[in-house]
Amino acid sequence: MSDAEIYADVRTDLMRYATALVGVSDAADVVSSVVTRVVARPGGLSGLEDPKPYLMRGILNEARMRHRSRSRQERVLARLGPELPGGEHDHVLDLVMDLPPQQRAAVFLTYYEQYTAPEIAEVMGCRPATVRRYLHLARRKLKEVLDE
Amino acid sequence: MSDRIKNAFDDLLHNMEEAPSWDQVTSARVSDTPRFNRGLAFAGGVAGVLVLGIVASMVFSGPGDVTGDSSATGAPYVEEREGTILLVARQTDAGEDALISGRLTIGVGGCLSIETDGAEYAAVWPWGSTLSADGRSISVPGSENLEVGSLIHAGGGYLTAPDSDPRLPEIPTACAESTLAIIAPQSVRPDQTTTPPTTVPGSGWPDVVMSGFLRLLVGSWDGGPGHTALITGVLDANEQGCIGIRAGEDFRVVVWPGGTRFGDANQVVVPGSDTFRLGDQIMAGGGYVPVSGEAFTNCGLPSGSDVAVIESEVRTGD
Repeated sequence: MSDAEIYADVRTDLMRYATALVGVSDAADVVSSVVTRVVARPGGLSGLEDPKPYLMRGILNEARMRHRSRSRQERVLARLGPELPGGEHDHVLDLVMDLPPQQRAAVFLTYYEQYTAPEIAEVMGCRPATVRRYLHLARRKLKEVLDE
Repeated sequence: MSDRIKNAFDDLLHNMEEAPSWDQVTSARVSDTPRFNRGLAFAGGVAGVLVLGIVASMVFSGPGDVTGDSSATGAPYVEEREGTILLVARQTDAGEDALISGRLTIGVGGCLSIETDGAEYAAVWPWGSTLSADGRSISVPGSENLEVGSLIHAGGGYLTAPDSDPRLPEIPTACAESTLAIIAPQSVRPDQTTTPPTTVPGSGWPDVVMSGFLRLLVGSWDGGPGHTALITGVLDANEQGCIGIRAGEDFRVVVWPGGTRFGDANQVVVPGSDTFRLGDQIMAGGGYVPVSGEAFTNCGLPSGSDVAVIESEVRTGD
């Protein structure tokens, strides 16, 4: 398969994952940045044994980088007060989106994509036990929602 | 339980944009710009279309009744008068923080900006701020009218390429290319030193106190009434070793109250105040004044540069 064909196969999945990690407005930029970097390397997408989890790891790394940048921004914007509360789903989503990127990725892949811990571990490039640790930490933070 | 999380993701993904096409990805690759800029280049491509629409449809959407209940939440907005664009943040009571000092100017793209040390920062003003009809002055709640060209001091902070945020207005592309200066509410003060502070005498001002590479510029304020502009930042030294304050990217050499000296470990000992170390956050009152002379030249300050003259007790900042 050519790079273009591989990308066509995975682009919607990547976009969904990126949207879950960085939000609607930044997702396309994240996908573009990650794919552009990989395509520019020798071998491109077709040189990868399994491009989709590789690209998903890249998206998670990009999300983590932006999360750090966002944290710096938040410290300045905190001078303009807290963000406005949203509706019920917004509240749930706000809680999820406030999680660190690894925990958010684990929650999304578990609750939305229905991945198993070993499948998530492959995507995130870590051990299944680490995935379960991320989920444990996330569930503890989301407890006020999950227990209602 | 888990359904609620899934529903929340459903809502989010319902608004998901289409993935970039292969052509968009590969056209981004053609650029030899650094990685981050390639991302921006793509975002610019997408955002450019959006911003064109925003600019084309940008109409005055001011705060409405800004004289009403001050606790009401006001949305951010953009105001345009005679080509001058005013960016205004969401209403809040949050206070000041880092020091932003500079001259009010109309920057690239028409955004009302603050110019400091030769750099322009498009400013995001506190809610309720409005432009005059000719776009040449701004009214900021809690302050007086500020004319383009005037020197101001404010609290706030700097943001580079901020993500979209409900507390910020839509930032026009031309203005978003610069770092933004976020102006905190109730923090804007016009410069009060159109005339030099009362403590500025003629020759011999200021004294220079040396300690190795470090040097303190020491004035003659001795506790009397002084200027009250906020001087705050982190105690630091510039490349010439002159002690001053750093607030964000802005460094300002300080002229200290009379009697200020170095301690045994190069602390700054201010009579009647406390002892401060480099890296301490400090706050004081005083004024900003353009200066000239050998003592300032040796601190790397060309004639006409502003220094911060402290005319109050100095205390540790928050």
